[in-house]
Order: sequence, then structure tokens, then C-alpha cells
Amino acid sequence: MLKLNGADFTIGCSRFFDTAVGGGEQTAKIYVKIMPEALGLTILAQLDTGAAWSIFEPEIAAAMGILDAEGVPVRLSTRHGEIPGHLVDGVSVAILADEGEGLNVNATVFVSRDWPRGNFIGYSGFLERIRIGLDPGDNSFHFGPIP
Amino acid sequence: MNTGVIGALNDFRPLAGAGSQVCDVLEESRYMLGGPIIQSGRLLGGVLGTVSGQVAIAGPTTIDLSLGDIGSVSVNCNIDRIPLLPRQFPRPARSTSFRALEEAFALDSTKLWADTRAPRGLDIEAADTSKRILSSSSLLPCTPNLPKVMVTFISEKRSSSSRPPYASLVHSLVEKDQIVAARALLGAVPNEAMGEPQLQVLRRVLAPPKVTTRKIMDSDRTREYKWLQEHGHDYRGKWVAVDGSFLIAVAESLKELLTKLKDLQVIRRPLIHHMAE
Repeated sequence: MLKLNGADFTIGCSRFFDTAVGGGEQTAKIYVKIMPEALGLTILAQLDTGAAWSIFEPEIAAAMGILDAEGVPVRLSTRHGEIPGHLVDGVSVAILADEGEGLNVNATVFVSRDWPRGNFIGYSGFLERIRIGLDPGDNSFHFGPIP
Repeated sequence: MNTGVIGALNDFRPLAGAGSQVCDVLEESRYMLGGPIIQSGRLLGGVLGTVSGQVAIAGPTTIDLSLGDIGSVSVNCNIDRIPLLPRQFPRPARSTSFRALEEAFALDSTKLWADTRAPRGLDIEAADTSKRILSSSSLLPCTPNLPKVMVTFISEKRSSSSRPPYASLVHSLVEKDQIVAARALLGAVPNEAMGEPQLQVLRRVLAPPKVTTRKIMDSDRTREYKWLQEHGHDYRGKWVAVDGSFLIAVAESLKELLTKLKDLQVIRRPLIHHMAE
């Protein structure tokens, strides 16, 4: 685990995936392993500190039972244009660890039937309370809670 | 577009009947913005704070709002000059709050604004030339979408229900991705207004996430990543479930994939991925 001034800075780490597969944009991204509690399966989500909110694909949001959940309606500005949807709070998502301990995040996420594709972990409502570190040398993603 | 810095405040003209007193107020940094209204020490319908730094007199600009102990935030906005009220604008009947009420409005050809000079709890009514009554709620917030109005009279009545539309103002900040400002404004909402259901939902949604440690591990997915890299292009647009070096299920939809996995009674949790088109 990573240390800062002798104290634990992170408590867990996992290997991230950085290769674009299939079609679409081919530039490398950082995909980390997460498990939405209500889904109970491991999926990949793009780590995007520049994204205002975390987003799940509509099919995943539907399987989690949050696609039509009550929330705050907003229009999110994205590279796909303005997407109408809802901000839903209280979404439990685990950041899975290969080593050390994982984290459980009680997050606020954006869901929309119009979201075209991809799962994103964004800053507000998710990353803002998590310490992270990346080592592109071995593709390791380190994480820990803010004390 | 007339632009400048704070020093060019001579460009403002006093409100009719208000004389130099209003100019004095202006020089204390009272500005009308295209979005929220800022007044010295207070921002109506936005974030509580004061304006600092260089401020354009008119036109688009960025303003730094100092939020005291909370921090600071930059807001992109339009600043419009406070226009001269038309001569035919009748004065309201004099009352103890006359001064406050007179300063509560500014009018130009396209917008009608109210500001925090109106005392708390004062419900304001105005009417346009078609005698349509505009309540204080229709005067706020001051957005560019306000209907074109020409005020013919204003009057006042005491009411406890006159409140800035906090929920819509917080919401508009959220839509502009100004989450810090939205939280600051939410934190400044008086307790008596927090009973509004919309504000309660906003407070819940905007609360920072709760993070706890969890003893949950996942297996090393290096082999799954390798499989995605080597075979992913063959399954464009499909949902796949991969365990180690093996594809254990593929489907057109996640729902179908989950059904297949249930039938397979998998023991180890596979990696699920929706391949790009």
C-alpha cells in the first residue's frame, strides 16, 4: 500500500485495463474494476476525474433498478451533447481490490436512457472522497478513503 | 459592448428618484448579473458572497465570489448596467419600506429584476402594461429568459411566503456543473426554507459520498483483459462474460447475458463488459 509521511495513503490496489477494444475511440483510457452492489458482478468503468458525475450504461442502471429511480432531473453536457437524465443518490458501488482492502462508495450517479455507452467514474458524488494513485509501470490503481 | 473595470462605475445611472444614494450603493460593489444578482455582501438567488477582482461593467465576464469560510468560486455571467427607470414609472405609496421597495426594482427594455433591497418577507407585486400582475416570484430569478415587461405600477404587501427560489437556483448551478457553488448555496438556505421537498432531495443528492472500507476482493483479471484485447473486436456491440481466458457467455443485451449466467450457475464472478461498436 502507498504511504505518505509514514502513514497509509491508500489501503488497496487493483490492476487497471488501458486498452480500447472493439470500435469507437481507440485512445488508451483507464478502466478500473467496480461492482455495483445491486448488480453483484464485476464490470469495468472508465476513471474520469474530469467528468462531473459517474454514469452507468442504461442497461446496467436498469439491472441495478435505478434507471427510473426518483432523483434530480438534469441535463448533462457531454461529448455526445446534452443528455437528459437524473442524478440518483445512495447508489452503493464497490471498488474492488486485488490486494489490500476494497472500498464501498455510497455514491450519487447520473442515469439516462439516452446515454449511448460506457460506464464512468466521475469526480462529484464519487471520487471526491477517495485518494487515488496510478502506476502506469504495472497498471496498478491504488485507492483509499479520505480519513 | 461597454466594458471596463470597477473604476468605470460612472457609466451607471442612478435610479429615478433615488438620487446619488443609489450610486453610492453601486460603488460599494452592487452588480446585476445575467444569472444571479450580487449585492455587496450578499448574492440574491445565488451564492452568498462578495465580488472581488476586476469586474466588467457590461458583457460576459467571470467573477470570483468569496464565500467567507466556505471558500471561493468563479462564476461566468453577464453584467448589465442598471438602467434609468422610465419617467412614467409611478412611485408606490410612501410607507416605512418605501426606500427599500423603490430600490428593489430595475427595469430595462427586456428584463425586470428584483434585488435584496426588498426586506425579507416583503411580497412585491408589479404589473406590466397589459395589467398582468407580476408577483415577486415571477421577478425572480433574473434570467435572460424573463418575459419582456414594462412596469406600470408596483405595490407591496407583507407576506411570510416571499422567498428566493432556492431550489431552482441550486438546480441551475448543478446543471452548469458548479457543484461547489450549488453546495455553498444550499448550505446558506435558511432553516425555515429547508422544508421544501425539492431542497431536501437536492441536499441528499449533493451530499458528498460516504466511503467505507470493505473486505471484498476480486481475482486478478489479467487474463480477462488479455482476452478482451485479443478477441474483443470479434464481439463488437455485444455483452460478454469472461472468466480467465474463456468467454463463458455472449448476448445482445445485458438482460439476456444475466439469464445465461444464471442458467450456467457460475461459481466464480466473471468480468462483464459491453464491447464498443
